[in-house]
Amino acid sequence: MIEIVETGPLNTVQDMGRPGYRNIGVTACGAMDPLALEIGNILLGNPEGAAVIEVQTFPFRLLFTKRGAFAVTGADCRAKLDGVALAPWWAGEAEPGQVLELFPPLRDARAYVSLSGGVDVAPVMGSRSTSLRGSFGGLGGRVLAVGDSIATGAVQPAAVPKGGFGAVPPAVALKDVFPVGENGELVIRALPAGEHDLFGADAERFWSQPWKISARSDRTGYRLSGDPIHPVEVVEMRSHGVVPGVIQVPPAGEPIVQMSDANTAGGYPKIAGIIEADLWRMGQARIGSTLRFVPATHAEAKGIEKALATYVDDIRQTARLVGKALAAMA
Amino acid sequence: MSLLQKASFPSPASIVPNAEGLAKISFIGTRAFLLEAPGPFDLPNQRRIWALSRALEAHEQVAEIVPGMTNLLVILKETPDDPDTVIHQLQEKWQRAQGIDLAGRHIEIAVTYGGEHATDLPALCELSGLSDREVVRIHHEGTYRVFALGSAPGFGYLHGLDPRIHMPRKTVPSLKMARGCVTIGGMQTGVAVLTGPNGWNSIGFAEVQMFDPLAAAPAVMAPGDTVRFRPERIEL
Amino acid sequence: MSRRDRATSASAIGDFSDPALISTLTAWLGASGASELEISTKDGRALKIVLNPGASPVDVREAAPDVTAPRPEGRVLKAPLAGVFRDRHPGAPNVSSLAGEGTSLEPGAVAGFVEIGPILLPVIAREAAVVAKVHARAGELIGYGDPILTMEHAQ
Repeated sequence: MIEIVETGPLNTVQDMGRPGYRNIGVTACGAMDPLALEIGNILLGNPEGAAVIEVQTFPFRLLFTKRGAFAVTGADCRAKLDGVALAPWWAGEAEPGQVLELFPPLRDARAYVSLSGGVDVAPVMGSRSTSLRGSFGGLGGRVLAVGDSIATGAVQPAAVPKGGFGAVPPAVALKDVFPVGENGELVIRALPAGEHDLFGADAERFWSQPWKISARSDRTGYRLSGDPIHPVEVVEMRSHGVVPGVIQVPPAGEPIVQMSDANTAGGYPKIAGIIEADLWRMGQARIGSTLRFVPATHAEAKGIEKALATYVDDIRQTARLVGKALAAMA
Repeated sequence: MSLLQKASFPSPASIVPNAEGLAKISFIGTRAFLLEAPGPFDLPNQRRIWALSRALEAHEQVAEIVPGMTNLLVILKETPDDPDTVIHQLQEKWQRAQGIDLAGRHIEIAVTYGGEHATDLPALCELSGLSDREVVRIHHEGTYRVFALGSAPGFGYLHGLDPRIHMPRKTVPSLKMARGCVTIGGMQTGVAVLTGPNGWNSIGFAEVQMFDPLAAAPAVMAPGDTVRFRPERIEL
Repeated sequence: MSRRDRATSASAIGDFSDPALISTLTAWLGASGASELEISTKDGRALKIVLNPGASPVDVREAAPDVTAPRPEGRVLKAPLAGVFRDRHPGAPNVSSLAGEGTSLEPGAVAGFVEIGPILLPVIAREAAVVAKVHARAGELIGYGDPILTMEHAQ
C-alpha cells in the first residue's frame, strides 16, 4: 500500500496494455517502455505483466504505508529512499513511513515504479492500464493525484535480497544491439510501410535526415520536426487499423509516430513502421531529442527481438539464482 | 561501422501491387500486415473483408484482426521469419474469400438535427447546394451499414451515405466536438463517441452511449449492423 | 549423502561459460548442502556442477562475510557472492569510483557492486567509515567472501 505525496500531471498506472480490442476501437495503451516494466516486475518476483506506475513528470514522491518491496526501472531518475540514493534499475525494500523520491532524469523520459504484488486496481477489459482518452482503466481512468492511495496485490515471497539488488540496464548490456548514432542521436529501425514508394525521392530524405521530437509529443504520439516530405501524388486513403510505431505523414509533411495511446485507426499515408523491438527506446525518447530512422528487415528485427529475449531471460534466471544463493548463505 | 551508412533501402518488393484483383499487402512494423481490397469502397468489397476476417480469426499465428474500410489489419503473435510466406498466405485467403453478409442487428438512433451541435451544417449546405432541410432529410432517410469499428472505443464507421451529402474531413479538426455529435466524414457517417478533437462535420446530436468498458460486450455496434437515424427534433 | 538440485528454465539461461555465474552456483551449492546441481534449458543446453565428494560443503559458509562483529583494526567489506567487482554502476561509467581510498561512507552507502551476469548486488557500508584500502580491482572476478574494501572508523 502506498500513497502519492507529490506528482506531476501525467503519471498513470500502466501494464502491458489491452491488445485485442482494436477491432472495437479500443486503444491498447500500456507502458511506453514495456522492457522497464517487465524487468522491474522480474526483480520483485511479480507476474511479469503486473501493473506499475509510469512516471513521466517529476518530481514524484510516494509514501509506503506498509512494508513492501519496490523497483525503479527505466529512465535514471536519481531515485532516493528516505534520502539515500538508489542505483538505476534497482529493487529494494521499504519500511512503513519511508518515502521514495524520483527526480527529473538527465537522460531518457520515463521511469517505472513497480511494487511487490503489483498495483492492484480493477482490470478493465483484461488490463489495468489507464486509458486517459476512454476514461477507464488504471485508477479511475485518470492520472495520479496527490493523496491517492494505491493498493498492491498479494506480496511476493521475499524476492529482493536485503540491501537490494539491480539489473544491468539494457542500454549497457545491449549496447551493441541498440547502437547510438554518431552524434548521439537515437537510431530507430523501421520497415517501409504501404505508401513508402509514393514519397518518391522524399522517401530517401525520410531515412537520411535527422528528425527532432517536437514539444507536441506525448503518449499518444510523437510529432517530428524536420525538412517536410510529401508524396508525389495525393491519395485518398480509407481508414484502416494501425499499431504503435506506425509513422504517418499528414499533409504538412512532418511525420507523426503513433505511440501507446494511439488511435486504433488511421488514414494518413504511412511511410514506415518501427520494429517492435525498438519501441521501448522510442518510449524513452525525450522531447527535443533527435532521432534517425534506419531501414530494417524482418530478419534483422527478429535478431534484435532474440537478443532482447535473451537479456530478459538472463535477468529472470540469474535474479532467481542469486536470491537462492544469498538465502542459502544467510 | 555506422548503421546510418547502411542505406540500402529495402525496396518493398514483397508488397504486391494492386492489380488483377490482388489485394495490396503492406507492413506496419514487424507483426502487422495491412491487406487492402482492390476496387471500390462498397458493400460487396466489405463483405469479402468480413469473410477474410472470419477465415483468419481462428488462425493460430494470428493475435488480432482489425477490419477497416475495405481493408484488414492482421496482427501476428510473433514476427514472422519469412514475411513473404505470410503475404502469399493472405493473398491466397483473399482470393478465396467469398463475400459473407453478417447477420447484424438493427439499431435506431434518435437525432436532434440542427441546433447548437450542428456546427458544420451551413458549410455542408453550401458545399452541396442543398437546403438544410434537404440535407437532414437525405441523411435520415438513408439506411446505413456498420462497416467496421475503430478510431475511438465503440465508434462505428457507417457506409451508405448519399453521395449528395458527402463532405471531406476538415483539414483542421474541431478541437472539442461533443460526444453524440452526428457527423459526416467523406463518404461515411457516424456518431462521435468521445468528446475531443474531431475532423468530421457535425450536423446534429444524439443522446447515445455507444461504449461501456465494463459491459460483457463493450461496444453497442458491431460490423454488419444496420443503422437508421430517426429525426426526433429538427432545429433549423 | 547426496542431494541433487535441479532447475529447468523455460527458455535460455545466461551464458554458462560465465565464470561468475558458475562460481556463484558452486558457492550456492556448497552452502545449501547439495552435492550436485543440474540446470537444463528447453533448447537443450545443460549445466551440471558436481562438488568434489571429499570436500566439505561448509567450507564456503566459513568464509561468509563477517558483517556483524566490528573489529578494532578496521572492518572488511567482503563479496556477498562471486562475481565481477564494479567500483561504480555500469550505467554511469563517467562517475568516479564510489569508494576510493579516503572516501567517507555513510551507513547504507553503496561502496561498489558485484556483477553476476546481468544482476548487480551492492557492497554496502554498514556504518560511517572511511575507506582505508581497496582490495578488489574494478572488472576483476572475485570469489564469495573475498575482501573488497577495508574500512576504518572516521576520527
